[in-house]
Amino acid sequence: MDNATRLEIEIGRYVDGEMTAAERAAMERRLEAEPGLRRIADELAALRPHVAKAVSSSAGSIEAERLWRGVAERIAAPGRRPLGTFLDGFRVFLRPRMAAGVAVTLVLVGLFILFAQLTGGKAVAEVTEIEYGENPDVVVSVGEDATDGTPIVWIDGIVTDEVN
Amino acid sequence: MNAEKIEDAGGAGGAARAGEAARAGEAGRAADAGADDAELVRRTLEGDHEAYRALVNAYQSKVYGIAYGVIHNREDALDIAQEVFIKAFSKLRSFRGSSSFYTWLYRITVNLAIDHARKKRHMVSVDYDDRLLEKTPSDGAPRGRRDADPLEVLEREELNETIMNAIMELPEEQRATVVLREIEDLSYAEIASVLGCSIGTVMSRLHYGRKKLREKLSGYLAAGRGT
Repeated sequence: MDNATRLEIEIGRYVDGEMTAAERAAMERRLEAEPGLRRIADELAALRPHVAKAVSSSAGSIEAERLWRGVAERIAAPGRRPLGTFLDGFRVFLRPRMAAGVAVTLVLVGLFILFAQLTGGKAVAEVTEIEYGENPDVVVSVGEDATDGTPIVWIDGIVTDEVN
Repeated sequence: MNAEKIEDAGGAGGAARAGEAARAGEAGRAADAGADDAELVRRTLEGDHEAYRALVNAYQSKVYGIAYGVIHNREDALDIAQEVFIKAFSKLRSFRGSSSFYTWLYRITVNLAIDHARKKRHMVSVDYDDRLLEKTPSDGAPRGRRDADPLEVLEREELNETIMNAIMELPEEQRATVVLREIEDLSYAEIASVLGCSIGTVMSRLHYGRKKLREKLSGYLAAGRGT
C-alpha cells in the first residue's frame, strides 16, 4: 500500500469520525496546510448524503405488510418455535473439520463394505471372467486369494464358496 | 449532463464532528436497543410470534435498505428481506448474544444479498429490464415532490441513477461495505463484525469503493465544491 493510499484511508477515518481527538486535530492541521487533501476530504464528506439519498429514493419504502405476510406464512405454523431444540445436538456436525472427518469415515466404511461384498473380505490377486455355458446371462469370474492362493468364484459379482 | 450542486453541510470537518457525535449517541441507543432486542429474542424463543413481529418491525426497513443497496432491485430486495427474517427465525437459537442482534441480522442480510448479487451478475439483460420497470410511474414511491421544479427533479433523478449505477459497478464486498457505512452509518468496528473481516479490510474496501464512486461522480462533486 503506497503512502497516498494510506493517507486517503486516514482522511476517510477523519471524515467518518473514527479518529481520536488528537488524531483529528493533527489531521485538521494537515488539511489546512494542504488544499489537495482538503479537497479529497470535502468530496468524501459530500459523497455520503448523496449516496444515502440516491439509495433511499431509488429503493422506495418497504412494503411492510407484504413482507410480514411472507415471513408469517413460513414461521407461523401453530406452536412453531425457532429450530434448535432438536437440531442443537447435531450442530457439531456442521463444523467444517467435523463434517470432513465424518465424510472421510463414511467413505472408508463404504469402501470397506464394498470390498467385503465383492471379495468376501479377501485380497484378490487376479480375476478372470469365464463363460458359463448353462446360462449366458450369468457372469462368472474366478480369481484367487492373494495371501494363500485359495480359489475364489463370483457369480454375478457375489462371492460363492462353491467351486465347480 | 447538468451537474447538480452538492451541498456541503460544514464540509469534511462538519462531517467528522457529526460522525463522532453520531457514534457517541449511537452507543447509548445501541445499548437500549440491545436490551430490548434481547428481551424480544427471549420471548420469540418461547414461542411468542408477536415478539418476533416486533423485531421484524424494528429492522425491516434497514434490512430492506441494505439488501436494496447491494442488489438494486425492489422485488428482489423484498424477497431477500423476507428470507433474512425467516432464516433469522429458524436460527434464532444459535444467536448467542455475543454480538448485537442487529449486527447478526445484518450479517445474514449481507450474506444473502451478496449471494443473490453474484447469481444475478451474469443476468445483465434481466437486471436492465428490471430497472426499466422500476422507472415506471406505477411503481410506487414518487420520484420527487409534485411542486418541485421539473428540471430539478430530473437532475436529481439523473444524479440518483448515476450514483446507483456507480454503486452497482463496485465488487459485491466493496458495495456492501459502502452501503453499511454511507447508508446505515455503521462504525468501522460494526461493519467488520457484520462482514466478518478486520477493521483494516473495512478501511481498505471503503477507500477503494469510495475512490471509484468519486471518479464516477467527479463532475457532480466538483460542481458542488466551493458553493
